[in-house]
Amino acid sequence: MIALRCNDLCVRAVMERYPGLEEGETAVITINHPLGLHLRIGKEVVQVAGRFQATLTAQNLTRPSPVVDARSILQLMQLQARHGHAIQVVALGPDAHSAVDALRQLLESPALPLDTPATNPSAGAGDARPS
Amino acid sequence: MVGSPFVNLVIISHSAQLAEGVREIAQQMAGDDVLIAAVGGLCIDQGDTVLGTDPLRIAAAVRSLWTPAGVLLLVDMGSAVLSAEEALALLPAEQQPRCLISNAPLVEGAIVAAVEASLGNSLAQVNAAAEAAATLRKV
Repeated sequence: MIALRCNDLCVRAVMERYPGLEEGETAVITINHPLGLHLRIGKEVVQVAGRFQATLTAQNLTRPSPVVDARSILQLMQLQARHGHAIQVVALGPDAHSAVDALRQLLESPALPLDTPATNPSAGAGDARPS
Repeated sequence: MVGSPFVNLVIISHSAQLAEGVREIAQQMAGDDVLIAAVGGLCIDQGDTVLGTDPLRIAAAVRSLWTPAGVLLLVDMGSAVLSAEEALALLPAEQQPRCLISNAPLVEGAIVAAVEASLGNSLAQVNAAAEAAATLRKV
């Protein structure tokens, strides 16, 4: 994992000189889950990304992909990210470091609590399955 | 679940199996906070179900999970839209403004809507995100 932190003195000085610049962080994260970045992990990524102010984008470096918004489940699926693929995450905003850390923790984890079978409490009265 | 802060979803398809399959995947995306109903097929004599959409069953589904946060109806195509419109007309007048028929593609739209709804986003936000799925390339 390569992480470039924009918190050295030089960058700080530049940011103070140009207040419009945002704090940022970029990291290359390797997908560690055996199923890759599948739908359920994608959902977790969207939820984690939503907890931060920073904008978060992701790109698959192993297989050519567009740069996608980490808050969009379908855009994350465009990464086609399998186990072992390297994903470049870029965060811009005041909590960029924490956001990247949170995504790294999620994507480098080999399994999620969600991997247990999902409960399904709410088929409800509208369920139209034929009897 | 009257009073839930989360937008709920109704999946409407001509096929009961298709509606249920989309509901299954959307529910996994949404978790337990978002209620999702599946309505598909048309009941004919002796309980047989044929392909089609039934406004009465759609209305029942919407009523079962109506919440002031809103209900988003996702439809497959064609007459499913008409049936959904007829279903909404059957609802109490105060419930109708908080129901919306989405222009989103059914599968992708339901997945996006489920995730967005689970984040506590508004009915308009959930629908906008779901409809944006129509323009996204897969390959």
